[in-house]
Amino acid sequence: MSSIGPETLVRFQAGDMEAFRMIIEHYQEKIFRLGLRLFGQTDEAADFTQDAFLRIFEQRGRYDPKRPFENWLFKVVTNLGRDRLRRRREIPTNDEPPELAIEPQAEQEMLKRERNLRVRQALQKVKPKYREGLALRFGLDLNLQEMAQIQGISLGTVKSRMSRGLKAFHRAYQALGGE
Amino acid sequence: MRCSKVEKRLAEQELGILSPGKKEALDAHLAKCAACRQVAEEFKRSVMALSEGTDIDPPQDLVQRILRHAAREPEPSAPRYWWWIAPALVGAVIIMLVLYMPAFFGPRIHMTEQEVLAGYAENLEVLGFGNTEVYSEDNASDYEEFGIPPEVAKLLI
Ligand SMILES: [Zn+2]
Repeated sequence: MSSIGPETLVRFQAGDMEAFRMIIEHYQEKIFRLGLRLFGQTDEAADFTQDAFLRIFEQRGRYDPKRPFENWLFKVVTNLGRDRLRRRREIPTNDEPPELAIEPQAEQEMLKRERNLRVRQALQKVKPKYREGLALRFGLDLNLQEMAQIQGISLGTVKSRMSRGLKAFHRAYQALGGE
Repeated sequence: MRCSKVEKRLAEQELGILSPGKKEALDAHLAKCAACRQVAEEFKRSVMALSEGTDIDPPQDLVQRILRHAAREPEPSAPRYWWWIAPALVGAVIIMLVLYMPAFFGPRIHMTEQEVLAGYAENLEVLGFGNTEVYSEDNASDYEEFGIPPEVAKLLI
């Protein structure tokens, strides 16, 4: 997948919808899957993805073209996710059944779906401030340094949150049956 | 090293932030503690599951949905939007006043639209009231000939 070029970014900043479409198409999967890890539910992840891109569109004037676009984008999206987690009154019940879009043919695939679901359920049991880090690290493949930048916290804080977060996730995941 | 420290060390190892000294202590502990070896196995599986991608794709119409919404949104920080909406609101208020003031201050409590119009034109026949013609945009200029402001004329079409 090619990345978004500078001329596309210039057009995007000028409000060009075609450029915006390219950006959405390029990043929607990542943002959606980040949303899945943060919120656990497909509906909410889709809602979050929509809000995230609208926020990006709205704030496009604030992006500094001299800096990496992806960092800016992830930062805006992470802040939005954090706000959303904060505003949520309670953690959803996690009773979402495994997705039934297409009946999985192979047993392997079914097992993977079950694992995916259990991961999302376990993440919901982890404190939001740890969950955010886990979602960025394992959903967006960011390294600890990038996370510090995007989350606006020190590298030391990232490290301690992440080791606590991993431990908390591990316990929650095993409590749900592990595998 | 105590068993209670093992999960923390495993997490640090996974993140690549475990110092060589601590790694050595962890390995030594795992070599002699079966329970913690079991924990380490499970930990590995937890992390693998967490790292594994998901099959779920975003909804197919998501891109369209976002673009539709974005097109509808006002220009972000451009003042242009408020630039016309404010006078439009003021205009709307003035029109309401023009239409309903006579109802409040006139001799009669209730006035029909036609009676309000009578304030603008003496002969309502000319305006088309009284016949069954359905008005089109073209009639706007007719109203204006009778001194009816275009904002009011719009309401009458
Ligand atoms: Zn032990």
